Amino acid sequence: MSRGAKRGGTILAVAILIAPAFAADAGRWIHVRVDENGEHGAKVDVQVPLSMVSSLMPTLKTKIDLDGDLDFGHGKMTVAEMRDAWAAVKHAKDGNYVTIRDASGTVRVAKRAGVVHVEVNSDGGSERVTLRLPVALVDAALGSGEQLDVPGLLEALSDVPSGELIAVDDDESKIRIWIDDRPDTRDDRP
Amino acid sequence: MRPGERLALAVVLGLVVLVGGTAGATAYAWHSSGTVNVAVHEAGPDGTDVSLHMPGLLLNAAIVLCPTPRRLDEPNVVAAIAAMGAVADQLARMPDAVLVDVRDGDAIVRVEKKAGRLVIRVHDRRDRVDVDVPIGSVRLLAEKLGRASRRRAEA
Repeated sequence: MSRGAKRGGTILAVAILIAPAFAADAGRWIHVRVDENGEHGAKVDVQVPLSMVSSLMPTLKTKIDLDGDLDFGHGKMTVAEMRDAWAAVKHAKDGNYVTIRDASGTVRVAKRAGVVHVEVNSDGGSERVTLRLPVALVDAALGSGEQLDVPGLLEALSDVPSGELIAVDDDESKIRIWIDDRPDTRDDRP
Repeated sequence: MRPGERLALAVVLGLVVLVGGTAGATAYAWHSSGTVNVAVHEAGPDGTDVSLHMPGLLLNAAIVLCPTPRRLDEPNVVAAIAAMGAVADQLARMPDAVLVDVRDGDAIVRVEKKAGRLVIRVHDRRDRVDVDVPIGSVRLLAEKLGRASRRRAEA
């Protein structure tokens, strides 16, 4: 083997050994942005590495009382019931599942390419909620126990493709939650 | 050169190396531990103004030498210290970034990692608080409190 090839092999081996360390450093970031409309509206940006949220979980779990029920306004649903309903959606083919139109607005639920899309338009379109929920993410959140699996959700978030997960728009504010591989900067701020 | 002169030269050279090495090591530690800046301004006739600029080396020495608080074994405190340690580790590893930026009218809250430092800025129309500390010092404090907390829990 030539000297150059040996040197190249050594560099490649070192690169392979240290690459995971850099990958772990890069990590994934969760971003939350809330913009209130108007000249004096509040602007909130929070972005943290997912690994930081994960490492805070033991502390957060002692502070957050995650009971097993989800309140949807018209009655509670246990995580187990939610999991059963979710299983039906998960195993179904791609398509539009639910379209509800009434005087107050429209709700659409669809599944495309492993992602469940939920769109809610109300008050004549002035309030819009868009959820993009990868199947793996909901699977992880519902877990297998009687409570929501928040650590599992965080683990699943690290594998979700970059992009917007939640968007809420109304007359007063805009809310965005998205996942990315890097910290973001808001160009209009110092 | 006579033996006496040789010995004197060796002593002088030894002293130069010792003093120079100590000065160099101190300068490196001084430089690498950065500076701590704290500025607090309260408006009004009874308001206070505090401005503190000190070498990080002194803060690190204070962290090492100062006694730890007594109530480190309470569950809430243990959890908070664990969280502080985890955050300090993550801060040290992550790239520079603005973690929190809230602007509401004249009020600003900003928490940022910038060039190995944790920069916290809280401003409103009347008052201002600016804190700028090396992340190494935050880690040192978290490690010390974590160790003390674990020792108390084991005792």
